[in-house]
Amino acid sequence: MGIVLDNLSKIENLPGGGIALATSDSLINWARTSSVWPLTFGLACCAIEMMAAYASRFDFERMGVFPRPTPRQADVMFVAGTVAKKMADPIIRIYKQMPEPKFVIAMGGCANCGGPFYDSYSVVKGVDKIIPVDVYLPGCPPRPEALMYAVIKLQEKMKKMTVKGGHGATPLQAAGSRKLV
Amino acid sequence: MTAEEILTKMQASFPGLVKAEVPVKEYPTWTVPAESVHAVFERLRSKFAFDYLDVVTAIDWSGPVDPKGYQQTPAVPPAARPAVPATAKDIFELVYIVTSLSTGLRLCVRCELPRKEGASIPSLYNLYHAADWQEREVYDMFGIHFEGHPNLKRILTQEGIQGWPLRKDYAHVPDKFD
Repeated sequence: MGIVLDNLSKIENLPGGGIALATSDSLINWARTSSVWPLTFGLACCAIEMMAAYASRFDFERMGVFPRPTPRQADVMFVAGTVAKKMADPIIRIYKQMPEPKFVIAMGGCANCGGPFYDSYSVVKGVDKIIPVDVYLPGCPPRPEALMYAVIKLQEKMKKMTVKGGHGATPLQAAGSRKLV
Repeated sequence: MTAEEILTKMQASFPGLVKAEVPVKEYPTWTVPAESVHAVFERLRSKFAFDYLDVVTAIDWSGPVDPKGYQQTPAVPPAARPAVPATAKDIFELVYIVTSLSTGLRLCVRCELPRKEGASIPSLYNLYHAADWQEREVYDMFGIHFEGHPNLKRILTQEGIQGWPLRKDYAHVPDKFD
C-alpha cells in the first residue's frame, strides 16, 4: 500500500483507512509506465547498444523495460538502426500487429532521418515516413543511457494519457487508428 | 602445381587467356575474353580442382559520377567536377575469384564487357551453385545479364526501383521513402 500511495497522484484516503480512492487514469498510467515492453527487434549497430541496455550493466528491466519476442505482447518498438527500403514493409507489418496503445522510439540518426545515408538509393529517410514516431533519439549510435532517457521521455508522455479524452498520448494517437502508407 | 604452370597449360587451349598487368591483391590474376569465360571455368573446375567460387562482382570503369539527376548536396558546379581519369574506359569488368580447396590455390579471373544496356555473359550457375545469388547481385547493381541463370531477378533492392544503382550514370528517382 505504501508504494501505491507514493506513486499514484490524486489519491484519496478515506477516513478510517482501509479504502483508498484513485482515478482510473492514474492507476492505468502507473501500470503502463511501469511496464514498457519493447519488441525484440533491431536493424543495425544501434541494436548492439539496445542489447547492452537490456544486459546487466545497464539493466533496463529495473525500469520495467522487458523485451518481448512477439509484437502481440509489445507496447513499444525501438527502431534501432538503418531502415532499408526493403525492410519498410516488414516494419509496417510488425507495427500493425502490435496492440494499441503502441509507441515507437526512433533510435539513432538513421531511423530519425536517414543519417549518413541521406542520399542513398536504398534507405528510408527516417522511419517516420512509414510509421508515426513518439520519441526521436539522436546519436550514432546513442549510448544505452540515452535510450533509457528516451524511455523516460516516453513515460512522461504516457502519464499524460487519459481514458476520458481518447486513449492516446498525443492528439495523433487519440484520433484513433492512424493512416499508414 | 603452381598457378604459373596452370596458366601455361590453360594457354594452350585458350589463346586469349593472359596474365593481367595489375593483379587483384596478391592473387594470380588472369584476363579472359568474355566469350570464353564459361569454358575457362569449366576447365579449371574439371582439370585443376577449382571447386569453390568465392566472389563474383563487377566494376563500372566509366568516368566519375555524373551529377546529372543524382542528388548531391551541395550541388557541384561544373568547374569543380573531377576530370575524367586516364583509367576511365567504356566497359564493365567482371571479377571472379575461385579457390581450390584441395590444393589451396586461389585465382582471380577478370573479363571485360562492352558497357551498354543489356550487356550479357554466360552464367556459371551450372558449374558453381554459389554463383546463384552473387550473379543476381551483380545483375541488381549493374544490369549485367547472366545467360542461363535459372532465377535472374533483383535480390537486394526494393520493388519498383528504376535503373542500376552502382552504374556511374545512375540517376536516382525519388520514391515514397525519400
